[in-house]
Amino acid sequence: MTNRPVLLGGILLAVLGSLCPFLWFVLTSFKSQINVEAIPPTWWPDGRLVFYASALIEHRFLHYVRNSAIVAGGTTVIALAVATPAAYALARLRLPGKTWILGGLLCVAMFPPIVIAGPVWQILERLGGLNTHWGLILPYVSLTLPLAVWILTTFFHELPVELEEAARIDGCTTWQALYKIMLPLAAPGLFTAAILTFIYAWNEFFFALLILTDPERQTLPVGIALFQGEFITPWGELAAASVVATLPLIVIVLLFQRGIIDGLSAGAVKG
Amino acid sequence: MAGLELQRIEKTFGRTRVLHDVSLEAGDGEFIVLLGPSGCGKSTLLRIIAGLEAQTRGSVSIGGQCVDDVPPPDRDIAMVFQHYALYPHLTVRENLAFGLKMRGKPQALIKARIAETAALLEIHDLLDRKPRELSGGQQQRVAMGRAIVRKPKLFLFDEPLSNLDARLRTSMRVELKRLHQRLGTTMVYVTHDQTEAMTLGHAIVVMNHGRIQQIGRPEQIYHEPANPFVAGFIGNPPMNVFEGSFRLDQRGLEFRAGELTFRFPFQARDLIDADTGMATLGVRPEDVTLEPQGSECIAITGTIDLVENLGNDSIVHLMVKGQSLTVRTSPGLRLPAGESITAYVKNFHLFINEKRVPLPSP
Amino acid sequence: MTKSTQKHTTGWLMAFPALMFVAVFSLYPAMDSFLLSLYSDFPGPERSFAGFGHYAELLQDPVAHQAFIVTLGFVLLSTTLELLLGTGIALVVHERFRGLGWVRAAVLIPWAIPTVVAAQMWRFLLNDQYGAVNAILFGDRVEAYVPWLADPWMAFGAIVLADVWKTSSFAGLLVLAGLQLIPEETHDAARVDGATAWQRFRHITLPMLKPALLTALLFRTIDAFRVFDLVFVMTQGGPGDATQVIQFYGYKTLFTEGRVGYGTTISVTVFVAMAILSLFYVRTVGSKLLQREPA
Repeated sequence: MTNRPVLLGGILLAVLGSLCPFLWFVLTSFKSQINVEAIPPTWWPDGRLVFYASALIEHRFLHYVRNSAIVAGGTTVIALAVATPAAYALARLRLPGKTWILGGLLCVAMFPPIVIAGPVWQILERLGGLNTHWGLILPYVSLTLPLAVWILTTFFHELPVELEEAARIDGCTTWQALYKIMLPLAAPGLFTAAILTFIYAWNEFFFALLILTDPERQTLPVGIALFQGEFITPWGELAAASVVATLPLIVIVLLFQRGIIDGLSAGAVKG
Repeated sequence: MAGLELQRIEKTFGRTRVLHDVSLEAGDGEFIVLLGPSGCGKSTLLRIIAGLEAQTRGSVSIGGQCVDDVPPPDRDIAMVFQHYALYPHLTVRENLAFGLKMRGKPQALIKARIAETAALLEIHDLLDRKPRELSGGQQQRVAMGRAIVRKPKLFLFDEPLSNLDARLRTSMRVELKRLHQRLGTTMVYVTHDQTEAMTLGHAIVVMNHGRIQQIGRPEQIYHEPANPFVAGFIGNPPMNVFEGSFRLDQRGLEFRAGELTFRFPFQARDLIDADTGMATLGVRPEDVTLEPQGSECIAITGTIDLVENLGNDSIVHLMVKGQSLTVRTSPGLRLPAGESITAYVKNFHLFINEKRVPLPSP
Repeated sequence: MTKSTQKHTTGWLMAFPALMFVAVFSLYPAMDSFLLSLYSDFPGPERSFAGFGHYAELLQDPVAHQAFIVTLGFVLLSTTLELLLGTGIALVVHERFRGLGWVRAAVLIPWAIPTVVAAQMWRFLLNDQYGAVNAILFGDRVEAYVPWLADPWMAFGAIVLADVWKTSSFAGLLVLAGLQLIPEETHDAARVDGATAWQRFRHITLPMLKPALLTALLFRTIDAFRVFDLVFVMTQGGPGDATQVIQFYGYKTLFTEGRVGYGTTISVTVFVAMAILSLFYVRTVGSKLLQREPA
């Protein structure tokens, strides 16, 4: 496809198709109530921030933001701390049956959430983890581990073995070789894995819905899914809350588009 | 005291055996080169010496001490890797310091050693750069510096020059030799490049298929190759090799390969068990001349097939009774293809049962 | 040798926490679900062993049948569209042009948006009164406005549309990774041989892209089987049971009605169906993926 007009058409179609639906939601969030309920709809907002004020203050949406930040941040930190040594061992050490472990992880990543939801709920009930943030973080770590391990294994795998042998001759133990030599070099991979884990935890809805029933603890997706007015759906507030929930992700995508693309394909085709 | 001693080393990976009964000894301060084609086991042997790989059988001693149960960092060795293996996230200075730091050496000593090494290798200007900001040759120097700075008992080199371009390779070769003269430490050097082996080594260990083929001084390896493999592997262009049969009688030994026949007045029955059998005859291209010689040479006539001019030399390919013969000769001779010419052979190498049979000069 | 055993120990030590997490929060629950499906519905003293009774019930349950059909239709339709659009997106962002980074970022945004937000967004876009879709299609002719989500077929289409919008770019990324593996020289050779752009795509790109396309298909199919968020927010399975996918039915049975035995039976059946499909894919595609034994 070197044909310029065709390419230009393709670009336009891809970009407009991707952005327009959401832009409409963004525009809506800046409208006023009358503006939103106009039939036929008006396109341009009258530039009010009433919905933001209402969503954030009256509906206390900052609360959900805080909960989501705790859960997504906690998941990311723990998942990486657990996935990194595992990936290093799988990529580098002579571990019997590691092909099976990698394959097994891939299978686990494919489990439908509903299959594990019931027992996970029971485990958390016994541990007292229902309606707590850590109670949500634990299953999230388990669910994001396979992808993180795959990405990191790919990264470790691509680092030259000689470096590690040099480190060993220089006197490093296996752990020292990992954190003094390999970890700094795998930083881009770690970063990518971190971003993908964070996005997953920020967006996850199913488990959050099951585990967090107390509105004080709920994360953004639950807040947005269950957002209801007294009589009709408050579209303006919903749009504003949605923009707030999405903004961090858009920033991440704009900044780290490269790493995300590499990371997502690491577990798939390049493997 | 031996700098390095290997006793009956064997190594198997799964079911394949990559090293068979390898024994060798290097005197303190010697420069030993392990030479062989890729896959001959020379790198595995080096890694066993380093402790990166465990031998299946046999034992390794460094400086008179058995190190079989000593992990790599405690063997007091340093290794220069083929791809240098510099730590990309550390500066040159930190790369040099790393090994000393891991051993808990005091700051002052580390500083002094780095200064000393940098002066020796002339890399002081590079100390604060990262490896990726260095040229190939500079990276190579730093890699050597990282080995030197530790002042080990034994240096190990794994094809360290193979990633440099031809010119740099030549100059680094000279520098390495000078370095060895100054440091006087035992060095083991793996390469597949015979020029490197010839110029650097006190002793060359030629390996093939996991076995030592010959151990000797460079001139020994060249002039008295122990078997056809060594004969064919050393020398450029390679030795002319004729496979044929031999017969011993009253007048001496007759060698026959197709229509080509050579007769040697050779009475040494004690060297050869049989009267007839298969033999390999080798002729180095440089032992053949196209200028008329006396009777001490064997004359054979052939036709000129092709001439390669190398500037200081010419390589002439002759066809002699259906066999090809390569001759290294001085340029300037007029040698039109297709013309008939007589070649004079000064020296032969004879191998019977894969073993060298010393021939008296004809 | 002691050295190698020690190395194994370190390796296992390093992998242990990860394996632990997966065992406790994924493997054990999956097995437990299977056990639970063999018992009567409500926990407590009157709980009894039911064998495969729930599975027999499932075979007779018309709602479950409907849910399976809806799910299968959703999977087939959405993955097909996503692969087509994804390939288009991949071809576009594989080209080199100014602002490529921005285009890639723009295309990634639907993937990054929380599914729940995307669902609310499409619900609003398709709203019968204030929705942009009606406004674009019918403008001022308010009387022609369609209540999309109230019609069984349209509602199903809406779920597919939302899923395609959200995940085509992910499929595109997987295809893009495949495109990048095709050496430039191959295209040059084809061009020298006189192939047109379409011929090059059809006879060079597409065959070489096959592994990537199959991988994308595998990933998307597995994910589409798990669709829940979109249905929960956009239709709650309605109108009627028109958009009730199996995961949503299982959720309702298990958590709204509290029928543990039957609910886990549904979920185990989803799992088995997916495992069979995955195994089929892994057989054809994934074996290559699993063979990457590090040297």
